[in-house]
Amino acid sequence: MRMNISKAGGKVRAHLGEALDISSVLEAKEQLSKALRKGSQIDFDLSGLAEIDTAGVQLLLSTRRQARADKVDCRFLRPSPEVLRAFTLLGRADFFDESVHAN
Amino acid sequence: MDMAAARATLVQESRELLSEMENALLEMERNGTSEEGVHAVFRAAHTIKGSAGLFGLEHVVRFTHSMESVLDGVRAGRAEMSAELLALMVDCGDHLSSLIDAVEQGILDRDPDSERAGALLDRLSPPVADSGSRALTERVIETRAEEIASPRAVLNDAWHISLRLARDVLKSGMDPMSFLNYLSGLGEVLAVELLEDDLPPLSELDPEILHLGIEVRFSSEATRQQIEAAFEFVSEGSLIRILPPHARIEEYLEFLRTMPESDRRLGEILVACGALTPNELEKVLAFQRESGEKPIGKIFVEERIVPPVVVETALRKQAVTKASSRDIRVVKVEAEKLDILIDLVGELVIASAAARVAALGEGAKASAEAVGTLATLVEEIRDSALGLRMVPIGEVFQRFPRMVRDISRDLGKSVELVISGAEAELDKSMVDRIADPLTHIVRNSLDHGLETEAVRIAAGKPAQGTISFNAYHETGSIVIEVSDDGAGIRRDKVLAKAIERGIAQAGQELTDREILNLVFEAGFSTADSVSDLSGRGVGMDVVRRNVEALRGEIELQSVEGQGTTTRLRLPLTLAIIDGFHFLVGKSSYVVPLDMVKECADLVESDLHGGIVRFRGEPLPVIQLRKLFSVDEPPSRRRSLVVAQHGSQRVGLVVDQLAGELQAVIKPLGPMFRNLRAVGGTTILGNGSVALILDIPRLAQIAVETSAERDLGRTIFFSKKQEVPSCN
Repeated sequence: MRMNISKAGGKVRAHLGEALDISSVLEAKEQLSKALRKGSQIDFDLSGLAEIDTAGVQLLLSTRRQARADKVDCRFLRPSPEVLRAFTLLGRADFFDESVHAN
Repeated sequence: MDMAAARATLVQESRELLSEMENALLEMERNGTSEEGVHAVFRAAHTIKGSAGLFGLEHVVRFTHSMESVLDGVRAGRAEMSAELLALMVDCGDHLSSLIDAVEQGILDRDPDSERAGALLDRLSPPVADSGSRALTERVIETRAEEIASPRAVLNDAWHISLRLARDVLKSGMDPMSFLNYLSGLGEVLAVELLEDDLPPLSELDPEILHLGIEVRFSSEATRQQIEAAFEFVSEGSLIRILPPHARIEEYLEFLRTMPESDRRLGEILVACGALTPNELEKVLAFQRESGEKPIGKIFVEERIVPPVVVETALRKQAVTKASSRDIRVVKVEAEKLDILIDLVGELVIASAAARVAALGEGAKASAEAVGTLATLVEEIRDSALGLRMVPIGEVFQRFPRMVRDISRDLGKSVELVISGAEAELDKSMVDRIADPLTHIVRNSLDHGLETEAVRIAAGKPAQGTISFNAYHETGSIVIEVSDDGAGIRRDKVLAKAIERGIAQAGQELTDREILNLVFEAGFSTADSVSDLSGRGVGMDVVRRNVEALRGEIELQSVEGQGTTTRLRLPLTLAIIDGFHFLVGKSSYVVPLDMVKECADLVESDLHGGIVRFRGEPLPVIQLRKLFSVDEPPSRRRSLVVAQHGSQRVGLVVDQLAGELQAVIKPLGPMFRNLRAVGGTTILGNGSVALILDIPRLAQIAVETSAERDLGRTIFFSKKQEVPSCN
């Protein structure tokens, strides 16, 4: 999975790109773990994720749990159509946060 | 389906069950009735009934059903398992056994001895009067129960599907989302609830494993089968529950119980996806609270939903299936297939040895290592394969309690059979052949050895006599002892009879051992009256012959007034043995490794003819070069191989020690059968033939004759011609 991280004014923003599925979850887990350690606040932008499967959904759910445990303020924003469809199918359309400050 | 083969299985299994039944009954006769024992008897009868039913063997079904009903009464506390009833059950077991024998003979439609059956059924009948009407009532009640069930249906008019897919489902390339998509094609997915309770945070997560559960509410006209088919490829290791629309509330109760999550938690999920209304959930949880740990069946009964009889039947059915599935830890294999396997393993052992020789010859280190690994594995396979053939001797022993009980009753004597060492194993092929000799020995004890109660009490012995079986392993053999605490063998009577039969001469001086061994002579019997049990025709000579045919030995020990012990020693068979290889001249010989006690350099000055001084003690020796007429000059430094069999030791003088090997025993052809010292041959890794020495015989030879020049003659005598002992 491609991940681009940028920092702006103490806020970390991670763009997830391309595919998050069973073939890349192992690697993605490391990337996401690293990202969470970058600061006390992080936004995950999901607009670039063109493919996602149950393994990917599970990974994102687990990321949110980790963030809570680490007391990191973490948001999941701008899901791509595919991502939204997947989460809805699995009954978790409520997963995403409204982006208050559009970038 | 091959009916004949299936019937053969029925016969065999029934016989095994009948044997278990008999053991349980005899055990209860000895030590009092027990719940376990009654259940074992019931289970045997019930299982036979079921199998007989499958084959349409109505007469067997009817008979076992009667037994079953009585036993059921005992289990339910309505009747007592008295001594009378126990004896009756033993008789019924016998009749059942004859029915099974008849089935084996092809008599499938009737009882060949209906008179006996009738008599037994009459004795069984008083408690059985209700059985017919009860069966009818059961059927009626079952249908009514189904009608009663409907008012307890839930409102949910959609299917509820619960998915706890196997953890590795993602790695197998399957995805729960595709199942959900598929379902959408069959109907409408109304709601999905994800169970994330087992999902760990990122640091502890294995991302390739599925940690999520899924609950689905699904509306569809499809049949249950069509819905199940959606999950056809994922089933293994996955827990998939499908509840139909308007399922009964008890089904949800049961569903909650089988799920790992807490009832309330799962209950809330069910409400969340619309499977249950909040009201219905409360009802279910209330059920749970009030009933606590009570099994579902009981809850149903107390709610007066289902009459007790139906529940009991259902639960019993469950218990029987559980019991029979627990027994499936054994695989039946045709003995022939095992033999083929053992043969192949034998060839494998030889081939492996040859490979080893070749690799060492070439000096290539890598090959030698690989071949070494191979040899170790082959050894393990060999041990495993041989182990397959070993069965506990208890299998043979267990035939005897019944025999002892019956015969002792017939003779008016009180005798108990005590068994120990039943776990000692021996080769399967021996099991059948050892039964006859043991039977005869036991009958001898019962008939001649053990006294009547009156005589025993007068002699100050306990009124009840004891026969004991004992078995244990000892240096490559299995030893079986049959002992009794009876009158022992009367030496004077034996001698008198032997003289009468011309087997011995008056005035001959015989050692105690020699007198006892007279018992093994043909035509010998000291019975004052010939009973139909023993003493006519079948003597101890046949017993000894049978034992020796198994390459075994038999020995008698007896103290007059105290008792007799018959000891049999049999080899643990071995088609393949661990051997010790040495050379005399250029010829190779092998002896069983576990019979080799020690090897040492031979101090020539300590060797005197047939004796060598070894560790300060005299040890009988065999000079193999004399025995086998070896021409090559002896090596300058000869070795002594000290072998032991039982209590006998013998030293073998050899030229060169060659080390350990695995030997596949190839039997000698008929021409060589009478060679006393050789028990078989084997092919060495280099292709040459080695003779396998028969240590027990050699030990005997060494003891019997110590003069070197007689050894040459001895080897060619068969057992029948005794070598006159030389001093």
